[in-house]
Amino acid sequence: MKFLEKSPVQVPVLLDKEGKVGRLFGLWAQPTSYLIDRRGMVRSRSIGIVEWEAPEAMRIIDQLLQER
Amino acid sequence: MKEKSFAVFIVFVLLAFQGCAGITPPPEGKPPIPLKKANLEAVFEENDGLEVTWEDAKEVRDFYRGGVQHKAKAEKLFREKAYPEAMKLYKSSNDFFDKLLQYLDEDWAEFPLFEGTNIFFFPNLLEADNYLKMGLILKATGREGPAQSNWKRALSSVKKSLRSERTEWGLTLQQELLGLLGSKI
Repeated sequence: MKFLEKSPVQVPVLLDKEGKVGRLFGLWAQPTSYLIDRRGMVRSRSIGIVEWEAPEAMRIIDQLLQER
Repeated sequence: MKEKSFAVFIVFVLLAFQGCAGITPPPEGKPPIPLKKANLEAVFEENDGLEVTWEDAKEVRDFYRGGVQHKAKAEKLFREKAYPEAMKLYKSSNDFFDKLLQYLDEDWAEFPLFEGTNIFFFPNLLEADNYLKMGLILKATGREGPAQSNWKRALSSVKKSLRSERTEWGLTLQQELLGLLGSKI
């Protein structure tokens, strides 16, 4: 939270205080990133730090955004 | 691609579970972990949520969750006496457990995930319970011989479980299996 106060971002940031979401997702390492499509399906999971500006990551996100 | 996936799987296993080597059996005389704490419902609750499919499972944790989730469905069908459907799910549940047991074959009452978060990790015990239930289904359908084979496999799994974690749950299961097998062991 302190980090966000210093470096605000333009996307919603939610805090899972009791670890409920982590449990429901079967989280077993931090950080873990999930990409969820428009239908609410988990399409990708990455364990560890991800370079979201890397071409491969951008390609996957673009592809998901284009889906209807 | 398959080779790559397998290599990634191995790396994760090695990184995530590097502290697992050299685990000593639980000391004799220590009271078993009570059934009130470690039981089937508690395990189901921990693994409820995002559904794991066989195709998506990549790491030990996924295979464990998949096995537990299939078992949860099987238990419901077993209670409803929907035996053929329950049997399929017990088998698929054990497929998940068999896969992960190739890489990590011990049970843990406090399996460390991250930052002080622990879960129950009982692949051997759950597999044993699956074999027990499959045996009961087989017996109910008049197939005593295959039932006995399943109970023997269950007994072997429960013994493995008790060697790594002494639980009331495991001891109860072992007692039940010994009763079912009678003099046939």
